[in-house]
Amino acid sequence: MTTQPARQRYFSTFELILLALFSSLVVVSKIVLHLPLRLPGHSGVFWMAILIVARGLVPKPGALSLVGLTSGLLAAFMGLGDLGPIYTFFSYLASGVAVDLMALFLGSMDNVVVAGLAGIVGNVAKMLVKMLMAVALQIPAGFVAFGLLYSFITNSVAGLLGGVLGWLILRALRRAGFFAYLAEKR
Amino acid sequence: MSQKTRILIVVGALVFVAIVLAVYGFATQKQTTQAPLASVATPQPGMIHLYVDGTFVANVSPADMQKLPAASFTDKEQGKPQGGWWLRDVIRLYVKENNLSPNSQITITGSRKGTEKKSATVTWAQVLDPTNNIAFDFASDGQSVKLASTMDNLSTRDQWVQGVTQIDIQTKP
Repeated sequence: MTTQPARQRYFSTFELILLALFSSLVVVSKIVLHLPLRLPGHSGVFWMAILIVARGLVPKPGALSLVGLTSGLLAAFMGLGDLGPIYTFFSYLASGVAVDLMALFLGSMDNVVVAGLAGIVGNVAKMLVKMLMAVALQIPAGFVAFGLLYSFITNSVAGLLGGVLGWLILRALRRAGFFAYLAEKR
Repeated sequence: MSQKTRILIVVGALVFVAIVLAVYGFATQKQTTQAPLASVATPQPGMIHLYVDGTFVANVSPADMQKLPAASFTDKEQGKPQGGWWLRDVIRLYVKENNLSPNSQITITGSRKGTEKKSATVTWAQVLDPTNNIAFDFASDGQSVKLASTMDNLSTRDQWVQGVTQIDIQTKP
């Protein structure tokens, strides 16, 4: 009789708990943290920072897609967003998948340039998905076109700030020995 | 491929997207500003259509709205700042005020979740009342317009009209 080795799970239970916490943090930050700015995409400062930290703590491809999926579902069920749950779900998912792909393509979030770029791409991906859905939903394209470049620039700046903020948090956690603690938990 | 090359590829892709959006935005804006007569005569796709007593009057132009004084208020539901343009100023741009009475009805229609249409009706008196704060505001993504206010029955996100597509005015209801 032969015994087969147990198949190892891609994410450990501890990592899944961490990712679930980050998913809820994304939604909570959207509800609670308000910057007194009238700039499109400014919430990306907090949003992207959380995603970058999540990618730093769970450095596996797919981790942020899972965060995007979970936070999108949570936000959709909580009625966040102006244009309905489908719109909300896809915008959250787009951010997670985009930052995930950037991390896969560019490498570790230890590099501030990589973190900043991932933040920009994540926030811009959210904006582009919203734009495409606005076109699909036949929301007046005159307004869509009028604010596009402006939205792109503000989303990029917010994403960049979020990416750098996430990188700073990761650096602080590393210096505080949090990564050694995590290694023990895993 | 080195990390530096990959970073440059991503930066290049972002610049390309910015150029595409700039060209598209510029072309659409130019098209809008160069066809004022056509926009008055017929409803143009992709713009907010204004009807008075069932007759098409104008395509609400974003360029015209940008010239209006800015509106600003804090919503009752979440305490978030809202801003854009007062509905009264937008209507005055296209309709002479002496054609309107306090009881004139203004119906704002928007598109939500694709096929689901949503509308809200207010009177001209309610629109003029400064405590109601009835305004058009860019959605949080800056890519569509919503009708927001602090008026009873029109003070929550569920009651606001997102993705505004049409304004109907009944001067004598």
